[in-house]
Amino acid sequence: MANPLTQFLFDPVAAEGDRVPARYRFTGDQRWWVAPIGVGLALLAIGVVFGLAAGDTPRVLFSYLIGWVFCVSISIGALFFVMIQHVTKAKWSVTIRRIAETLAASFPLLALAGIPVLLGMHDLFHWTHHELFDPASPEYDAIIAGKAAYLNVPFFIVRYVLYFVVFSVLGAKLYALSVRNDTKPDPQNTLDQRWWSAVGIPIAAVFTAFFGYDLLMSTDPHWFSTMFGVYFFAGGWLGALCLITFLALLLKKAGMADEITTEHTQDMGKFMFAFVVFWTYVSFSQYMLYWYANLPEEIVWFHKRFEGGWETVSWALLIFHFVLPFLILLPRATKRIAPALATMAVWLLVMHWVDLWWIAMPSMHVAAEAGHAALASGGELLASLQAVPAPEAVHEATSGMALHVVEPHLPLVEMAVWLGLFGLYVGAAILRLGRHAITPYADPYFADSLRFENV
Amino acid sequence: MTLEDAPLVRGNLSFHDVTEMVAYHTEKKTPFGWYLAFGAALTALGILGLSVAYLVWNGPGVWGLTNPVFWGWAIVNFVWWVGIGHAGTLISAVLFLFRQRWRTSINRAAEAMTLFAVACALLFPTFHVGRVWVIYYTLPIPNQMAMWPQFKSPLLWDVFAVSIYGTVSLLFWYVGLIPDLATIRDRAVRAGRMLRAKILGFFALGWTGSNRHWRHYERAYLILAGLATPLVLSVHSVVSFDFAVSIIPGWHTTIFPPYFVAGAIFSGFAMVQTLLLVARKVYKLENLITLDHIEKMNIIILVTGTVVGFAYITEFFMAWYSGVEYEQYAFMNRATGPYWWAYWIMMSCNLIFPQLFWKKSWRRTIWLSMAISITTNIGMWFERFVITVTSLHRDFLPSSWDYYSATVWDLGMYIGSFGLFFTLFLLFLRFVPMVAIAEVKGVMPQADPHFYHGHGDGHAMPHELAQYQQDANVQTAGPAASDADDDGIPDDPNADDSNA
Repeated sequence: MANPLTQFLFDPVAAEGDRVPARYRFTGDQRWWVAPIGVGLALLAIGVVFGLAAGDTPRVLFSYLIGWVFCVSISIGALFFVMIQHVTKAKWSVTIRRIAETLAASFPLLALAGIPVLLGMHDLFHWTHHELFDPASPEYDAIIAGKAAYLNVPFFIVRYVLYFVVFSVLGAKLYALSVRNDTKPDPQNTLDQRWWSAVGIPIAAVFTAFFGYDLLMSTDPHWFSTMFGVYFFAGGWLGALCLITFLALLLKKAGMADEITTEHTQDMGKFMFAFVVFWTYVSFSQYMLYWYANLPEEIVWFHKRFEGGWETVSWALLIFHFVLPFLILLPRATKRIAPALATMAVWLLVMHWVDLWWIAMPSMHVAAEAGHAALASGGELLASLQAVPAPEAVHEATSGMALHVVEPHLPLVEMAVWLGLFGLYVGAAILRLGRHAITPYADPYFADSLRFENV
Repeated sequence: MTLEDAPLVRGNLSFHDVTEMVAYHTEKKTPFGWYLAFGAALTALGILGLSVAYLVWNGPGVWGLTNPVFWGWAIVNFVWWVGIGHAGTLISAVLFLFRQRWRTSINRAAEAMTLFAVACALLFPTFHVGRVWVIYYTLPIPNQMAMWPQFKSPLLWDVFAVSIYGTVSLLFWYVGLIPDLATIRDRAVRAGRMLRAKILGFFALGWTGSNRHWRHYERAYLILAGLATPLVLSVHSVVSFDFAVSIIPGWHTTIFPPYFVAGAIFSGFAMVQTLLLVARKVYKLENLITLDHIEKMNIIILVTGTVVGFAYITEFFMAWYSGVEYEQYAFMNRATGPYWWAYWIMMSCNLIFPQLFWKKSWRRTIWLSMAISITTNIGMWFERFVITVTSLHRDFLPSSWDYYSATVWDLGMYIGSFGLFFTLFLLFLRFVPMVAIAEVKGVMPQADPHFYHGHGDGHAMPHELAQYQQDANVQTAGPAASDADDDGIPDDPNADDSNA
């Protein structure tokens, strides 16, 4: 790993090996990272090959987009986790922080992994089609053309680079400062981490929202929601909490990371519970406000998600992403029994993917059926409804839209691509974790964290 | 700058000192200054009575409401007061869940502020209706007409949200008060003031501070905190739904629920700051409400101010991005229309001024904290004004555009609501311990079970942890690590306030 490029992409700090006391070392063998990477590569290949063999390139690209955004959203959540611990001077979380730091150091790799998304833009993002912006063309779409100043390929790529530069710098800085502190302890490291976090949070918050607008919301370029950035963040943050908790429990199960006690994982369980509720609050508010006002230019987005089979997924989200986790995570016992908490972490990670799938996949028709984009456009629909106010016409117009919805087939390709990417992501993170102490044992607050008990 | 945490209680106080310091103000002879302030508050309360009487007798036409702008100052004030009330619950419930021990010396006053702010807030929806005497129709009471309220209206949700909120806040505050009421009851007994002891004894519910009492108390407190947290988020979200469920451009937007909640925390903390900066000086509580408390509150003001600023920018961006001309016009109208001044007051007070708190020495400056806490509440009043009025006065049909200006009766209600607030708040300061005595004692170093071991600095370490200590090269960093008496802090309470 002496190669500077690998170091830049994968781990900014050289491995310390035996300078770390044995107690804090990663004692697992190579299977820990070989298995997820191997299985991930295989699943990714299977998903892509089967998807392409079926002749459905957009579907493969959408699967890739969803799986990749899933990993990015978790890293963003982990980055926020680290930054929030520093700015609030939290002590309880010190023992578990290294896992989050490791996940937050994944951005350079994720930026590379996003290249297929950039290459497949034409199929993913309807607004990349030139004819939409040409008034002489029959495909001309006045609404999308009005957004040309924001939705254009060069600016999109500039933003993409900017997001990943900022996220990578923040993730790498916080990771490197923490790792270096293991072998060269210095209170200044903690102060520097605090500084980077305080400056990083507002910048990362704005970039997270715009990342959500660009990569997910613009798959349906007619639709908009001011809440969307918060919604995207809520999902990623919850995903990060679950993955951090799951990895901590896994390490403990394997006899490592004794310092992470039930007290710490119980606190993570509380966070999971609280942010299950937060996710629901945000997503339900977004839904309820659009349902209530029922303005045509906004409601089409939910219309597509309540027809053609997607209504099952919508209801499943309500029940499996909120009601059941809420009830199960509520008692203290669930949060203190490792297998129960680990199950809930996996469950919620799956639901996070379902959520992203539900957001992105129904938009596929927008790209697939460019010629019919006008029908989905709010302004046109409004005009047609005003011109012919007969109820049958309304029904015709709205059910016409439903015809263009891609029905949710059993998402085998989607899941294979997702699990493939996720395997690679987790494998790389564990490989990075194994190169250094698995807990920041020289942190000034480490003893406070060990002493922590839930009362 | 070191990593050592500042002590939550300064001045090397003992348990007894803290009791004495707080309880004294409920026992001493009422100072003349209090009567002066109370007189002013009562005068404003009189203005409220007059305004309400005039309003009910003549009808809401005495306000400046016009045809397009049917919601004016009354709703602005309602949302503003509810928002202020939220900081109390935030401080007592959310900070409790996050184990922020610094909340202990400010939570009592903040919760009291919540109750009084909610009382002020409730005035406005009550008297904003044209026929206040049938307002009980909003309650789902079986009646001879078999008529029920419409459960689809967020204004009805407001009725439930705010009344439940008021009730839970009162319970939460009262549960927290019980041990302290018992303290001042016992002091009244010792002082031989038996009438006072009887009254306090009634409200202290026979609290003896036994182990079993405390166990139940703390469980109840935790559950109430757990219930109050989603409640406080939902209440202000429901208030935001009043606007966001409509189809008015500028109102109908999905970010309102979290953005209103952030704004509520922002203005609420600012109001707590304004009140406590005065109270700590007047009542000489600088050792309990320290400069570190003020700094932490300023940090929260900075954070929530930035969140609110982020929401302003998001709304603006999304209005453009949406491609909906009404939405685009609504926002251009805010920035450049007839109410441009309100918009720019809002932007500067909420988005720009709190950013000064990035500088550590500034957020520890008393006069600057005072100034920004006041501009924040001005800014947040204008935020509600901008949202309510600028969206209504120009919407879909240009033929129904109009300008709205308030009348003297709008102003009377608003000034009067301050009268109600300060009347209640001054009574609270006079008769109730304004700092949670029992809770502050819990965070003092002497309360640490390890305090009397080792160096008596609360840092003694159990044996099972000692092995980890050996592994780590540095455990407690900073110069204070070698400072055996854990102090290094000037014991003079006013040493840090020299710039006040």
